[in-house]
Order: sequence, then structure tokens, then C-alpha cells
Amino acid sequence: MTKKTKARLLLAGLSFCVLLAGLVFAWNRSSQPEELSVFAMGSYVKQTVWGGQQSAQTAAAQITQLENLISWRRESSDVFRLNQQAGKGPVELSPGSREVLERALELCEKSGGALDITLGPVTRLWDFDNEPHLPNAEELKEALAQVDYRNLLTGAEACRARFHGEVSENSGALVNSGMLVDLGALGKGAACDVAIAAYQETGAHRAVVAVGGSVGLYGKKSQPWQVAVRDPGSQGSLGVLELAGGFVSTSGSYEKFFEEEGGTYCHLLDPRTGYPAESGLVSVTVWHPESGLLSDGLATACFVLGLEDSLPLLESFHAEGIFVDEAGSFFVSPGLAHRFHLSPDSGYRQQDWPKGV
Amino acid sequence: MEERRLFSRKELPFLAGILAIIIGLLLIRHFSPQGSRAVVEVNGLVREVRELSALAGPETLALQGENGISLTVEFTPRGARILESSCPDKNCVRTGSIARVGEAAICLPGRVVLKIDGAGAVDAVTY
Repeated sequence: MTKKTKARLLLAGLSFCVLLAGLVFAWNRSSQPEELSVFAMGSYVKQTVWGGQQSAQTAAAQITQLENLISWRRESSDVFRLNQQAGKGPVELSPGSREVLERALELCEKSGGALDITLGPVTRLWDFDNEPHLPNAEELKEALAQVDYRNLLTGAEACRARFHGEVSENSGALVNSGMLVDLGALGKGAACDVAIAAYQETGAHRAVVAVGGSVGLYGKKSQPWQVAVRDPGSQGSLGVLELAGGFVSTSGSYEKFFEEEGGTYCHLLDPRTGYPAESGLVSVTVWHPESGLLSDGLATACFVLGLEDSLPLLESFHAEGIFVDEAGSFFVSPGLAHRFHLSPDSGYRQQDWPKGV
Repeated sequence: MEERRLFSRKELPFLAGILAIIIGLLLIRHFSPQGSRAVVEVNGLVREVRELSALAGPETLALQGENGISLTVEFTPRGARILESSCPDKNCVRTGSIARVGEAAICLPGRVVLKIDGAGAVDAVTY
């Protein structure tokens, strides 16, 4: 081989390498996810999306649209109109908000009222989002008398049995005046559901959405998705969940609380008493394979119920959970046992998951 | 006697071009951010980024959030925190110092997010 041929081969080899490197570099750049952060549902919404056509923007718009339907704060939302018409008659709901209300009612029923989406009169008294304070006991008692999810009706048949006049399949009504629907316990999870639906519609390859502390995972990664579970006692993490998909939500007493008259009061209220839940827990994390609404609502219901009473509820929804109690112990359900990795510097002690489920 | 050169003069500019591309790619890779950094967002838009390891000492930043809420953020080589806020609930201040990748302090009324970004972050945090 002549010197000139060698040089030509060397040059061709170099060119090939540069071309290859350039292609790899360009591919890396193009496979960078799109990140979008917005505020909606009274929360910080963060999305990371790979592929798709305007997937993150579409999901953000869908979340805002959901908020405009189910937030009791939004005038003209379905829930706002439902509350306004409480005791007077039915209102026409959009199919989307009717679906959210009916799934939530199923959860209320199965939890035996540990979750109650008609808790609005009580949550407004505590006012955790603006000026949290210990309500007057008499006022609280009166507000609690209005709370009963069984007096929220959906569908033509149920509404017609109670009210006269025009009703349709998408009608909804609150039986008594003074009743108020508040979907705060599961709205963030429901927002994850609409985001995941948007990723499917717009052809995204994979995505992760976090609406506040509720997380939705879409599509497959070469490695499992990693979701850190917040340490209830610090800003760090209790550990990391490695998941193939699904939805994760956490309810923790550390998130919103205030101190008054020597007591500490958290925002997770027990609908049976009107006061903060006293179940001995400081946080509950729930994973559900298909629904953010359920993972979010179940986390709240389980926090109120306590560990033992939550077992049948989790089982009935095919959900898994991680419970942390006030004594510094934590419990991981069997379905998550191999997916949860405790932080090395965590001071928590793992206890056996209770038997009987 | 015939001159024994590996490349002809005509090929040299092409070779130089290839070398320039290689050096360029290496430089881009080298200067891509690798360490943990504090990021401040207001209403979803990045307002400030500080490489924490590059700080010599504590630094503060006063900023205006949404809804007329003003905040002061403190950055140190070990972490960052929202030092003061005129928001009603003060949840962001109560969050305290954040240092690990993925942690965040959020002021919902002011729509301000202080978070730690960097390599090794998990995909999401549930709280």
C-alpha cells in the first residue's frame, strides 16, 4: 500500500468518525426531553416529555381546562355551579367533571367516608390555604352536619328522584343548601390523569408529570422510573421507588400545618370529626397502576383511616402503599417491597406489613 | 527523489476542518453544566441560575414574584433557601435549606420555585 493510499484511508476513516460523532451528538440533542413548568390546580406542575407534538403544552392546557371544570374557586366551574345550586336543584355537568365526581364518590363509599368530597363547609372554616386557624367548635359542628357524600347526586335517575324539573344524564345536585363540594383531596391526581391522556393523544414516547406531589408516569424507559418519596421529617427523601409506570401520590401532615393554643393542626381533616386526622401517621404514599385520581384520593383516605383500616381499601383498588408513622417506623406493602429503596442516611425503621390482607 | 508526505497540501484544509469539528464537540461537552445548581423560576420561567460549588460565600437575591409578593433567596456553597417572603402562609420559608438534587422550595402565592438541578436527579418527587 502506497503512502498516498494510506493517507486517503486515514482521511476517510477520520471523516467517518467525525460524521458518526456528529450524528450521535445531534441525536442526543434531539432526544433531549421538553420541560415545561406552569402553575395550575393550585400547584406547581412540572412536565418532562420525550417526543410527541406539542405534548407538554397540550397537557398543560388540559390541566387548566380540568381546573376550570372542577375547582370550587373558579366561578362558572361545574363544581362552583353545583355548590351555588345546593338544595335548589340539579345543574348540567360536563362529562369530564361527572366522571371525576363519580369516581370520587366510589372512593368515598369504599372508604366508609374517610374521604368525603362534600367536606367543603369544614375545609373553608379551617382555611388552610389562606389564614389557617382553629375554628369555633359550634361553627365546626354546624358545618360538619352538612357533610355527607351520599347527598351528592349524579345522573338523571338520582336527580329526578329528588328534584322536579328538567334533568339529563349529566345532571348533578347537592341535596341540602349549605353543602359544598371540594375536590382538593384528589384534584392533583385527576390532573395527572388528563396529562397522561394528552401524552397518548399527541404521540409522546414517554413522559413524567408532577402536579404538586402527585406524579404520573407514561411510557417505558430503559431503566425504571425513579420517584423519590419525601422524608416527612426533613427536606430529603425517605427513599426511592423504582416503577415501570402508574401514578404515585402522598398525603403528609408536614405539608400544611399551623400551631395555635399549644396544638399543631395539619390540613388532613377527618370527615367524621371535622378535626385533623389522628391516625398516628405522618405520611402515606399510594401507587395505583391506572389512576392518578385514585392514588391521590386513596392517600388521603388511608391517612385518615390509619394503617390497619387501610388494608382492605388498598386491596379493593389494587393499590400499593408506604405508610410512615409518628414513631419513626415505616411499612411497605408487598407489591412495592422490591421497588422501594430506603435512603442510606434515613433514620426510619422498617416494620413488617400487617398480615390479614 | 519523490517527496514523502502523508497528506497533500490540498487535503490540509479538509483535515483542519475535521480537527476543528472534533475540538468544537469536545468543548461543548466540557462546558455543559455538570454540577448541582440552584434554579429560581417565577411563573414557570427561569429567572436565576447559580452554580453552588462556584460560590465563595453566601449570596442573596431579592426578587418579585406574582401577586405582589416579594422574596429573598439565599445561595450558599452548601445549598439554597427562601430566606424571606411576604406571602401569607410562609410555607416556602418553612421549607428551609435545600441542597440535594431534586429538592425544591415552592411559594405558591408568588408562583416562585427554588430548586436544585444537576446530574443524578430522580424523575420526580412525591410529597
